[in-house]
Amino acid sequence: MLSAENFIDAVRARSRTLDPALPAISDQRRTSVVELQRIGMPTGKLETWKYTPIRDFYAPPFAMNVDSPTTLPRRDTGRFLTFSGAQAILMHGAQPDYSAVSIRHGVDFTNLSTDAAMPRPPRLNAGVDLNRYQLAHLNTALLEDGLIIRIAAGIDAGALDLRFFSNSNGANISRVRVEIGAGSTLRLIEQHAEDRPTNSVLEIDIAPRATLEHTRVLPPTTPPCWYLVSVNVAAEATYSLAGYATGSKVRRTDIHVRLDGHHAKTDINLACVTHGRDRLDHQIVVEHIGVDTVSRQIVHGIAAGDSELTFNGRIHIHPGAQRSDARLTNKNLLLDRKARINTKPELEIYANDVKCSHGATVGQIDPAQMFYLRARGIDEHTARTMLMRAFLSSRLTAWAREAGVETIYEELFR
Amino acid sequence: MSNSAALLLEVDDLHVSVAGKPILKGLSLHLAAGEVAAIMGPNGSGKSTLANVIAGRPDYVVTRGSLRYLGTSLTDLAPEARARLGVFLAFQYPVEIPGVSNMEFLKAALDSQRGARNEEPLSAVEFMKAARSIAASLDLNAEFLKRGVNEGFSGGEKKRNEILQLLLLRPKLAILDETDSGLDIDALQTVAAGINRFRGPANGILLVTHYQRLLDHIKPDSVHVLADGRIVKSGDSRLALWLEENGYGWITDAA
Repeated sequence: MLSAENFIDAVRARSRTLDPALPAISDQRRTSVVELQRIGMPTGKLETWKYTPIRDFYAPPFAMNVDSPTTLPRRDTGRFLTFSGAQAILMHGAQPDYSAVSIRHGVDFTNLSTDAAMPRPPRLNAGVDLNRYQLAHLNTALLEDGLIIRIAAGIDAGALDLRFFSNSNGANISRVRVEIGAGSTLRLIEQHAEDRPTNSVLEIDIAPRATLEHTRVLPPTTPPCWYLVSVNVAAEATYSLAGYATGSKVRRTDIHVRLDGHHAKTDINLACVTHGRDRLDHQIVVEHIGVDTVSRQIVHGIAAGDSELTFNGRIHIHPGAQRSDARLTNKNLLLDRKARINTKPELEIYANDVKCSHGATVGQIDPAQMFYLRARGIDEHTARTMLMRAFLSSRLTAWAREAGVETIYEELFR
Repeated sequence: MSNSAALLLEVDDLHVSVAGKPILKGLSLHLAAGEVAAIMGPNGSGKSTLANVIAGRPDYVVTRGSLRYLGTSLTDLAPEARARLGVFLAFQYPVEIPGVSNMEFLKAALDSQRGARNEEPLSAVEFMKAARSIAASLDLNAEFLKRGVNEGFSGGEKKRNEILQLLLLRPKLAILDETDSGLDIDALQTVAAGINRFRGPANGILLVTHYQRLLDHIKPDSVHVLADGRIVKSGDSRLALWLEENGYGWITDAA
């Protein structure tokens, strides 16, 4: 195990070797390294990291990317779901490959490492709350490449499918920034099939009246994975998220949605499953900043075996965010004696004219429903499976269902 | 033995406890193939417990006595095993299962029962045809099959859904637990017509009811009055009419 100082030193050394290949973000990289040195290693006593060991994300693989990565073939490995109408962008570790995309007018792709003559400098971390998400500094310091997707104003940009997988025996440090112009529409899929330690940051900026429909798929994996989804939603814009997740040794997603403009809306639906000895942790912060902003969060979780499923949903209503309307529901099924569920809905309200509700439940499969199914001749195992599928399926969009998203939960149904 | 061959159900000296509390206290009842028996009695007499224990509800514990169906003891069989042998309970309070469509549920039930009899599962087309035709006979439109199991159904729709299952699954023994409660007069007639359609020389029916009114539409062969976990009076259909006149007050008077 590396000591704190040694780890940060290793990060700094690594970042220096990466710098020449990625001059576009030199300044940001330097800032992040300085910040990491200032902050030092987190102690693990942080409230938001109570259940997930943050140390796993400050571990050697993250700082010791191999100097000459064992490059894997540049092809779709087939572990991804196919969403109808979506065009695939392959993320080999940090390296984007959008060569297969037939690019629509008004959609612009920028590759951080190869597009030297960028029309505008990349605004990495522009909307990221770096005080809250310090692992984003690590991401910036160790970035080898990245992708910026810019959607012009007033267009339907169709559906893009970001497929993340490992291309080396090092860690995956990936970064995608998505900027959606005023009044435009995008459907974005994010599928993670990395089999190496992962630190992934997705920044999203949604301009006034624009809409992003975001689908995330996290099939089972093994290494420690941290993901940040950081979203800014401008006036009258909408961000909807449908997330489907399973566990890993340690798997954590931070989701930060800022409803900046008036009438900005977000709608978050998650279906989370853990089994075996896996862990899965979602930490959501929704900030109501503009007036008349609306948020909905519905999160369903199932924990089986010896696994640990964690959810924290925080609604923060800023002073002046009058007529905010926020609701959060977290329902969980605990299947086995040794399985654990941690849930904490939180409200922080600094405006007086708001509607807020939040609630969390942890229960077991309803014995009355079980008996009803079994009394019709359906065996116990099938009945349980039907009820678990039903519990999750209420969170599934038609699009995800059609893509076969339920297959990521198969282990639970065995 | 020659007699028991024609018996669908033999309940002898049955004692049942729920959450440690004795509810049935030495109940005996025989039902022959082709017979319709009405089980009547005041609230809390154990009617629903009898219905549920025959179907195998897990927390209903048989502490003494026997429960035999077609000569086989049911007490150690799982609810699904009983269903596959032809035992059917129409629930007093059908359970809502959001997220499982009625169609998916009915198909899974039918497939599992056919599978247990070594019959091929129905094709999706055959199944839909059968389910739609039964639904129509119960004044339920096809849209009804696509909804979540009992999800948001009115009281009448839930009861009709139970009868739909009865007609689709074709058991031999049907226990109808207060199927008449919560039905308006039109729905009552529709449901009664469905039950009469099921009635036949090979099938037995236990009609658990609180009131006479269902029996105006389905004439029982026998009527048994349950009180405090035992059958206290048996007779033919005239007993039900007598109860309608006299109520259940005589039970406590007699006790």
